[in-house]
Amino acid sequence: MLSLVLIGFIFYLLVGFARAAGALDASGVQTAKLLVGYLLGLLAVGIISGPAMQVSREARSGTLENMVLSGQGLTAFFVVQVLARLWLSLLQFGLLFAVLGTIFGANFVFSWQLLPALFLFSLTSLGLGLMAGAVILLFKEVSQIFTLVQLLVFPAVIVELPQLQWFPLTLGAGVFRKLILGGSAAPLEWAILLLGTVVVYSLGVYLFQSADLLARKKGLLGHE
Amino acid sequence: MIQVESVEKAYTSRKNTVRVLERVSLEVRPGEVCALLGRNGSGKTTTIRIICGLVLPDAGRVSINGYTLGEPEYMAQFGALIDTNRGLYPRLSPLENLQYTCMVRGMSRQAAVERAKHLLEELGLWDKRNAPTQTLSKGMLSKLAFANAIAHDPPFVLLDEPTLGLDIDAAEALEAQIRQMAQSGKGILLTTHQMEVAERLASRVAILSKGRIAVDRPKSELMAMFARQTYRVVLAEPLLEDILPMAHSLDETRTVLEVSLEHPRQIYELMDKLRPAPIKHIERLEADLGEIFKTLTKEPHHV
Ligand SMILES: Nc1ncnc2c1ncn2[C@@H]1O[C@H](COP(=O)(O)OP(=O)(O)OP(=O)(O)O)[C@@H](O)[C@H]1O
Ligand SMILES: [Mg+2]
Repeated sequence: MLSLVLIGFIFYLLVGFARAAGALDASGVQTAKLLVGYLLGLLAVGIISGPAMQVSREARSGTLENMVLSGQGLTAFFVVQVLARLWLSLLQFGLLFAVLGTIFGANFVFSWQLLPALFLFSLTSLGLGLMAGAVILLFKEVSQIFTLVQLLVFPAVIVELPQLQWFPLTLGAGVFRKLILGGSAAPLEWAILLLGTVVVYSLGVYLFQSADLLARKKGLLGHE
Repeated sequence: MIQVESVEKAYTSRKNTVRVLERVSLEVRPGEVCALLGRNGSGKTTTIRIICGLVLPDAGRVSINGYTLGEPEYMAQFGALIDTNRGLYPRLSPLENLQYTCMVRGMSRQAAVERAKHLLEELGLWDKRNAPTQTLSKGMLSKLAFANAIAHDPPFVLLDEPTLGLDIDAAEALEAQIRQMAQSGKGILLTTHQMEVAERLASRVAILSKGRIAVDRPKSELMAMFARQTYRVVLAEPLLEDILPMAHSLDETRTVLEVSLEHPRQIYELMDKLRPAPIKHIERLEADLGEIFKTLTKEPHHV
């Protein structure tokens, strides 16, 4: 709960600064966009760092080995973990949207299509999280990875830059932003989003499994 | 039965390759305690990690009760204690840790709680059952790690230096536990540097040296092979003159005599020579696994 309040407060400051700098227009559309980007960014960072942080924690405590010993595939384990916690993240996400949207007077339109968009966005994040987990499984460089993730994610979902158009999270964020601001997404956009999600998620699974295999060959699995 | 067949393993990095296991074959049968001995770096831990599937071998095959790694049943055939100071969630309590392990292994919540409580009582950790695991002492952690390894009551148990850091009572309790598990039909593979532990527990001894199993025999056979023809004779009166033709040593009271014979038959000659001095006691000295180990793994020492 505290973290939710904190998140809201940080956004409040963010908007304050942006207004003072004259970066936001009076219509409130840009504030709304900023809010969408901010919350999507938080959601993505949360999901991405989930597997990464957990791999590192379990490697440190040596429980990663026990997980293997208990017969669980590591990949399946982390995917299930994230998906099991996803509803909670989404709930928080929805709550923040409702509260902050009201406070800042954003005219959000809630349609059922937001859910598939959000789900695909989350799945893409999970794919990226598995990639980060793969790196940590082999190199154990947690803090660097974490910083890198935050540096990449926020610009990708907040700023609508053409250079970032093909960044995995940008697709989902774009569709979501359109929908919640009352627009609609073309079938082609949905198709691209779906394809992008499948590609990123599959790549994540593949890389994580490869890292697992390599770690076992090198005898590094579970080592600090 | 655990079957390790012709397993090879080298660790490669960009700089070099360390060949650890050249062609290792080993079997562990139900009801036996097999002690895997070897000097530091001889590959004991690597062998155990390979059986566990934590390290992949370059060649060879491992199976347990006919299942090979990758089959879902394989992991249920054994429990392993890899590192006595790791493998537990530091913020969870011992009870929660064990319960979690049991549940992950497929037990119902009820059964898991029962089993966890039973193990904590048996290992003398009951008082600490609700304390955060990170506040336990090293020895307590070892006990908990052991409990964690056998939580699902597997038919085979792999223990990498299980008595490390345990006090006398705890080590004895653990030994008793291991012995009892073997009696109930479980197969146990353990490594240790404490030769007395191996000597007391093992029914079979395997020695890893230079990437191979140099010795693999029932302990009694190994001890008999190396049994020294050394006798200790305690005399009722001091032996005043050196009357023995064979090599011997005498303590300062000149009543305790140690004699090495070249052949068991010489014992009669010995008794004959000692006829003037009344013999209180005579015994054949046991071989000592530590000595045997040293003899069998003799190699130039790098310092
Ligand atoms: N992950 C790894 N990468 C590279 N080399 C390794 C790795 N793990 C072990 N080794 C090397 O393999 C050899 C065998 O190590 P292992 O831990 O199996 O020996 P051990 O018999 O258990 O030794 P100890 O009695 O000291 O525990 C050592 O030379 C070790 O340095
Ligand atoms: Mg070792």
